[in-house]
Amino acid sequence: MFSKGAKRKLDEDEEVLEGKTLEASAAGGGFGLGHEGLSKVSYTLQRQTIFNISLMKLYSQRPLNEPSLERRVLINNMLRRIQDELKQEGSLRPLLLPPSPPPDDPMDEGFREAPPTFGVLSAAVTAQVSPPSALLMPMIIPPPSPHPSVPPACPPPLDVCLTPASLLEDDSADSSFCTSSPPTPPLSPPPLQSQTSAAISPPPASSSDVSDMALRPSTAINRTAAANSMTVTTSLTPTTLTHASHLTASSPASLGPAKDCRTSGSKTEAACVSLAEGCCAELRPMDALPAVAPVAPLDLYPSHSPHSTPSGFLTDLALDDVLFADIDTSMYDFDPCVTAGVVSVSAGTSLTKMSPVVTADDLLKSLTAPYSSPTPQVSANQPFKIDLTELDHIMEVLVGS
Amino acid sequence: MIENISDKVVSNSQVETEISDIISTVEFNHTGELLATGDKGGRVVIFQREPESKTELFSQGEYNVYSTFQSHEPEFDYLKSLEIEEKINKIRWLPQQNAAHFLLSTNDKTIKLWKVSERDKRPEGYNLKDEEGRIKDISTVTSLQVPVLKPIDLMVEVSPRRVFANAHTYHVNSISVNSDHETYMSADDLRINLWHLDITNRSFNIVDIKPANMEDLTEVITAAEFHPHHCNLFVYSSSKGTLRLCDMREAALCDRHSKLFEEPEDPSARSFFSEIISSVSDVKFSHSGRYLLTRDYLTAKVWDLNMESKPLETYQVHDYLRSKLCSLYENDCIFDKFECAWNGSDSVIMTGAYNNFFRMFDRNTKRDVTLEASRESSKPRAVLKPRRVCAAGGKRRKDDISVDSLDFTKKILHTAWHPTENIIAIAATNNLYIFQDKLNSEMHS
Repeated sequence: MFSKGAKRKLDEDEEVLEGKTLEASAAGGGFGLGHEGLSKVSYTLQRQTIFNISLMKLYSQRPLNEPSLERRVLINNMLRRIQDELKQEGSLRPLLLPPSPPPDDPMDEGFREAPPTFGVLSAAVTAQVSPPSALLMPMIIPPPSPHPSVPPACPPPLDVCLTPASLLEDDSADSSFCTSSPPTPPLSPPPLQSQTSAAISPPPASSSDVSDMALRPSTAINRTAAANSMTVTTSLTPTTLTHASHLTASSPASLGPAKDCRTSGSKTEAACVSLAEGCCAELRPMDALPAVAPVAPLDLYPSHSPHSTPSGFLTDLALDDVLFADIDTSMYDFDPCVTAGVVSVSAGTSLTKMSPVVTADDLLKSLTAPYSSPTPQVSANQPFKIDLTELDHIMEVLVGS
Repeated sequence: MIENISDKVVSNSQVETEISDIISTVEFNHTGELLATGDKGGRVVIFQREPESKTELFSQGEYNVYSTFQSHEPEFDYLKSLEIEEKINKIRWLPQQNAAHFLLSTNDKTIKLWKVSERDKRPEGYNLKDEEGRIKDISTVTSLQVPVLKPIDLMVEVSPRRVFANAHTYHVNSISVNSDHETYMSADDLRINLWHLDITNRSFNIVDIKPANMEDLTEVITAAEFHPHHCNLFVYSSSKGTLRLCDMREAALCDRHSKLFEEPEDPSARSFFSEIISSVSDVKFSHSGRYLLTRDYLTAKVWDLNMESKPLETYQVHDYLRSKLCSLYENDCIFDKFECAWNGSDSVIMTGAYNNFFRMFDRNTKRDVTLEASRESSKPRAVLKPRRVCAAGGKRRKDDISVDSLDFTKKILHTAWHPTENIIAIAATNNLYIFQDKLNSEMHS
């Protein structure tokens, strides 16, 4: 539990942090530096940031007229390049990636025009949804690829992540996977998806919560993009937060601590930021402890959605399946369905709804300044600056059950 | 040369259009007498240089509106459920062969050939038609007369002559008239077609880089141009920063290039954005046909046709943006397609930048200058002041503008240089600026 004092302290830390990173970025000279000039982790973060921007660019805009092929190809090449790098670093991944995965997700959500109704989807509904996606399946199925980040102890989900269709069946069949059924809608092309979600969503309360969460970050990002300033981390935080909550939610025993996270997060923006950092960093211990029970499902659920989501769009855009087939699942650790789990768990507490919103907006304010500097690697050092007590706390949350 | 232009440039005329009418292309004809602009609204505006006047010192060379016409209309692609913009992507003049002028204009899909002609006489006194052209009642015709041509006020007539449609699946980015004056080519993202100017229902595909599987697509064609003298040669540029020179005598389908111009990547400058910023946004043959001028995001390069390994000269257009690439990627500016232009003698090159700045580089003296095209800073007939952008952290002189205060919404993408004289046309969003070398005009007046 954070006391008020602790929060304020974090607040200050955050400011100091920003100042420092500002200086660092001024001296650093930007993304163009490549591997040498930057620490490995900040490079990874940059890469992740660019990866996120690229994904968002590819999928967020749906103009009336045909988008420029050149732009799409260049962005696609960028994604491929980053992915190749990730593949090469495969062995290092647990070390390198954890700080970065969450930032990916707001984009993931952002480009979903209508977030599907999550935890509430019944098996029947899923069955309804599955035919169209099953139709799409032949185009979607990515070449089988080893997923190093998926714990070897859980083979069924591995299969699941390779074949979206089977994922659907699994979901509808297995009631314990109920929360994971949501990733199915993204399989179908976006328009269809929005239709289905609109048609389906029975319990408005929780679904609106989710859509709130899903949409706000993206609007924030758009706004900043228009303002010409870099606000990459803004996108990081909401997700990291939700990520944190889904971590906790997945193990019911740690529900209490989860609420705590939420509360502190929603109260002060800076606390949110640092909390998010905490989550980033805390992923590392998580990876280091694959035996811990709650961790496994976390890795599993996300492994569905990354495939379903991008491939759904891929079929739409006729882009590279392979690009996403091999994608490192740890980048998609956050998943809407799991968030939905949180929503349903802590439904009624307005905290869940509030916190992401607050974060997105506030972060925007707090982070715009650093990003107007030439180098948007502000958050580069942040994962290292976590309060030890916070780390302890997160560990507690993680291993709590 | 550059000094003359920079210090003594005269702002000759400014034409303001409506806010939505962003100029999307600028092109002088082969004599420089006419200047055509196309805009996002599908309109083409032609300016004509006024004849010399003895009374006014500066009137010589002033360009005034000659004709305006709607070249393209918005369309809808029912198969793809997408709108086809009416925006004019490129205009190319045909060499003049009689009193009329011809130009090609293209939007994303359709190329049109327009005839621009003058009329200053009108036939009058038809026997069977009255003044308004209505058929007379034959019973009222009692006597016959000989129709005569009466002089009238000068009228400029523009009429569509050919419509070259349905040949491009992707967006047409370039058109180029061949030096044989009979054919032209049109390039889209993946293919280049060769047309005869008189035949609209058939074109020949001369380059096709579309992979069998679109998932393997990593490169697109960004620009293409015919050699100014050799009708068998053309060049096209790609999004990977390469130039390919093709000879149509070698094969009907020029998928295999004759020469590949490519600069090896500098490993020290490698970044995530290396490929994007190396994408060639424009390629132009020099008037002599010996050199190629290319523009990528940060630089302008001059290539010798006889040296494929690296460019002859590389000019930094706005290197201070190198540290801002991520922001420029996020706000999509990194995909802006800046064009470039040669002066009449191939000794100076010009290209646009942000903040309504444009750059000129003298190839002989290696001097360069940054000028600004804006209503605030340049009144008609005022002399342009060179501008300077100081990189963040650098020492800032008076009047310098810092990188952080550059306005990235004001970009000069389209520029054109008079084929023989030092007159340049700069399209800054919806304004067209025509600047003229002051010495030049004094010399003539």
